[in-house]
Amino acid sequence: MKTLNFYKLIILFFAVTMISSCVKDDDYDTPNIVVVEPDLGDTPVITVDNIASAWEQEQGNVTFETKQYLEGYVISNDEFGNFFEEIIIQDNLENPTAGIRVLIDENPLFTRFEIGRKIYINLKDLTVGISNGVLSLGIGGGTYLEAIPAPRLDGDLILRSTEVGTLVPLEINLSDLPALEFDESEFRLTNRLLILNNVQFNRNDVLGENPLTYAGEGNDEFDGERILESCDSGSTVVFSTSTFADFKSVTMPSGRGSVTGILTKNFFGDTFNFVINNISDVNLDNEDRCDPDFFLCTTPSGGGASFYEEDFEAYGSFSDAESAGWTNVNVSGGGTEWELGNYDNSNYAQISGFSSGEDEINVWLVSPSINMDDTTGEELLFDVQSNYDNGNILTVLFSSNFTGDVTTATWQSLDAAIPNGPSGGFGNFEAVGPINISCLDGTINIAFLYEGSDPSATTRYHVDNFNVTGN
Amino acid sequence: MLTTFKLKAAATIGQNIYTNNPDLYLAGDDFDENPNDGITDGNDIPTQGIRKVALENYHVSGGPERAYQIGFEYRDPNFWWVGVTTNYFSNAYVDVSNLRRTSDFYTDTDGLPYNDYDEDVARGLLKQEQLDDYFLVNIIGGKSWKVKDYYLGFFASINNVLDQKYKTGGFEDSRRASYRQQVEEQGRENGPVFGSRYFLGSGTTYYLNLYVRF
Repeated sequence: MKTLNFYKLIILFFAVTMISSCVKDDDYDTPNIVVVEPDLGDTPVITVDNIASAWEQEQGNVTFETKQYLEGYVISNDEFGNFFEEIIIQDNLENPTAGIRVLIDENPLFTRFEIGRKIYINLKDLTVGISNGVLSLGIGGGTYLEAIPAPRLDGDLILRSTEVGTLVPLEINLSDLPALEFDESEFRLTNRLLILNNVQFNRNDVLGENPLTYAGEGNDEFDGERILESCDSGSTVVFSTSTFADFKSVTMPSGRGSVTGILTKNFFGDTFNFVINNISDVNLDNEDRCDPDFFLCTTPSGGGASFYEEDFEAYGSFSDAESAGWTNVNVSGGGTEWELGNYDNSNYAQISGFSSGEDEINVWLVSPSINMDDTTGEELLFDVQSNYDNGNILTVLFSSNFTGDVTTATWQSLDAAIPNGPSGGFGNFEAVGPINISCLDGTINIAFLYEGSDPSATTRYHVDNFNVTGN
Repeated sequence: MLTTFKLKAAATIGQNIYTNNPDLYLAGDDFDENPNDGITDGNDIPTQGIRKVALENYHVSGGPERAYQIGFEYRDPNFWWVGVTTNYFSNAYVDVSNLRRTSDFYTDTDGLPYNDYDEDVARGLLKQEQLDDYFLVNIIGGKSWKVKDYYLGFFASINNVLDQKYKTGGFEDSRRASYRQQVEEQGRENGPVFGSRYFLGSGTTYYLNLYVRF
């Protein structure tokens, strides 16, 4: 009896051992991830800010002859085709002070150098210079910086840190962007991840029956260039998308909101461009746009001949123009007024609030009465030169009941795109219009209103070749 | 002669698994500690060629781990007999690729993990494939006659009567062993190009044997 119990016990023990040693099918091991930070040894590490200063000191290309590492965080992403064969890195995850574009003859790059990844670039034999208007790193020696050949990626050209951080885009206002004057030292604003708040695409791009795509229009070559404008200041920037971007045929959103992207320059380096990594960076979903309340005519216009024009050539001073029916009045009570300018044997109406000492400048220039009854399809055209631009402060209005006093007349704005000019010098005369005024009848007066404030808004404007056409 | 009727049943249940993570030795010309120093180090197994293979709790591939059989046999006094057996096999696994379960699976060329490496996805990619269970029915029978001093007879068998298609085993390919390659291979719409290879069982087979004994 006892032996039997003993055997039973052994069998029980055996069975329990067997069953408990069974392994469920999903208990298997996977390779243990071991992550090792790259060993930089004694090699010196410099920041993007340092390399920018090196260029500024030299005011020209700098080629590195010894091994040293440039550290930075990747902010561009070529996964969606809007960047190609380049990585843009900046010095910090947030509040970046400088960024640089690294030209590499390889695609794709995001599979190793994703957004937020900290990388170290071996600068030996590389050259830093200004290419397309932005600070760039590549192979020097020729006229232009060349891309780094792809096989160098297999060596120790770029070491990846294990650190992948979350980038915080730096908020800027479009009004903070200076006008470009081909000055290469302006690169510091570019190559950084920025966020623009309270912006929208220009109404001409996204409103109407055929809103534009990012870069899929017939006339988009290399890049689709759209206008992004600030609701706070009215300042604009060119929003550029490659025609090779995956999302080029997506219709642009018409709302307002924020856009995250990288500030760079166009191919020629003469205009700021704002470039996104992917359309998820565009958050324009507030339907409440901030378009100015323009008076818009929808009746057909154009093809007519000029029936009212003013080129200011007949006058010796601006009082002559006033005698001819133009009204020139500063309703703020200051001394700033429109005056007659002359350059290269051409007269024009000129105004500037610079050094006026007036903190409120509201000056009207009102045209003589124009009869709109005898013509159809009327359009308004004129030329504007913007100089020493520190704000777009000129607007164009009309009134049907102006009798000499601008304050009692009823004014409505016209959709006139006053050009932006350089901040440190003279711009060029640019044609404004044609503005459709075909639905206006009777007698109208057209006004230029200068709204400035010394010293913050004192842009100097020249207005010439004022024309109204009709059939 | 007596009529006999036998009913028989058998079962085997087991589990064969790896209990640790062994080392894998790789030999190759490309192992070079400092690829940029201009010196080719050659076959550098001690520092470059050894990897741990994460094999723990994978099944050893060696046929089904569980098998069940039930059958009967009938012998008639008139010198004929017949037997039918039904077999059920389950829990067979393919042989896993060792290279796929080393650090080479997740490391990019610079030794850091692929920047799109996802452990959950990796776990799914590395799951050991379990082969389908299968049923086999076999029939065997025979008869004999006595003619003068000779015995004349035959026996015949039909294996896999139901013409079941089945795999008895298989092994994973080590050619595309990295994470990204496996994501690509296993994501293909019509199955991987370099997938596992299998040992297939035969369909229905017939066997007939005639004999004369003297």
